[in-house]
Amino acid sequence: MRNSVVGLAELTAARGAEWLAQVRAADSTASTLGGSRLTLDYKSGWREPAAAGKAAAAETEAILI
Amino acid sequence: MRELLSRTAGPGSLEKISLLFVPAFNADGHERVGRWNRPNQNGPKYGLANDAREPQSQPRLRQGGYAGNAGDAGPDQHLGSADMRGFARDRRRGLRAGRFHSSGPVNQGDPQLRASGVRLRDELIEKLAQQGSLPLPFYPDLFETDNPRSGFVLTVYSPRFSTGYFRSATASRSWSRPTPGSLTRSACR
Repeated sequence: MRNSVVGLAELTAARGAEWLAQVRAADSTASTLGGSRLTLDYKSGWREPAAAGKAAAAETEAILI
Repeated sequence: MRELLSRTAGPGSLEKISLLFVPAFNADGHERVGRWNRPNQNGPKYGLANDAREPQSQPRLRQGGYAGNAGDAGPDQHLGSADMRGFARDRRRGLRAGRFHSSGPVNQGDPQLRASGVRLRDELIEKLAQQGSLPLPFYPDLFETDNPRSGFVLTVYSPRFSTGYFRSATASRSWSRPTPGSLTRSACR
């Protein structure tokens, strides 16, 4: 855990400015999406915790790896 | 956190970034998520740290002093540890003390940001591997939740994690063999 926190802090310090520029470019692109057809919601194969006594179920087809 | 503040770890990092630590401050929502947990209260489905971008979480988060600003947000890191005994028993998979990382956007989200999402994940797990961990580049969600031999499910995050909103998110879990002290050591490093 300690190494994860420190590692991400180091990476963010090194690359944060670059990431922010990419995010702002993506936001700028997204600002031109008006009038186009967009996906506003989706279902993933992410499985929420199951109710007691029942198996967790994926909502969509899953890929076995 | 203490080491970062004292500059004995990641020297120079805090001169460039602001690090916001949000504890799992509603442990009931974080550890006991379910429809029938606190059913008569607003937001029983949510862990405030985990579902920070859900509208139901926002008032409580503001009370806690947490104020997310998408325009200035860097990566969001979700931390946890697990005593995954099923993995540990299945030695043939080579899964022992270690940790895994997943991050977004990698398999979903803004196509312009996926390349940096993959790079962030790969560079972070490389750092951990150099320090002796056995990091994985995916979230090892068992196909059958109680059967380590059933394989893993690889999928995109649920919309409820809002990984598209804060743009970049990582999940980090530690696990270890269930020997005395091993989980503690793994979780601390």
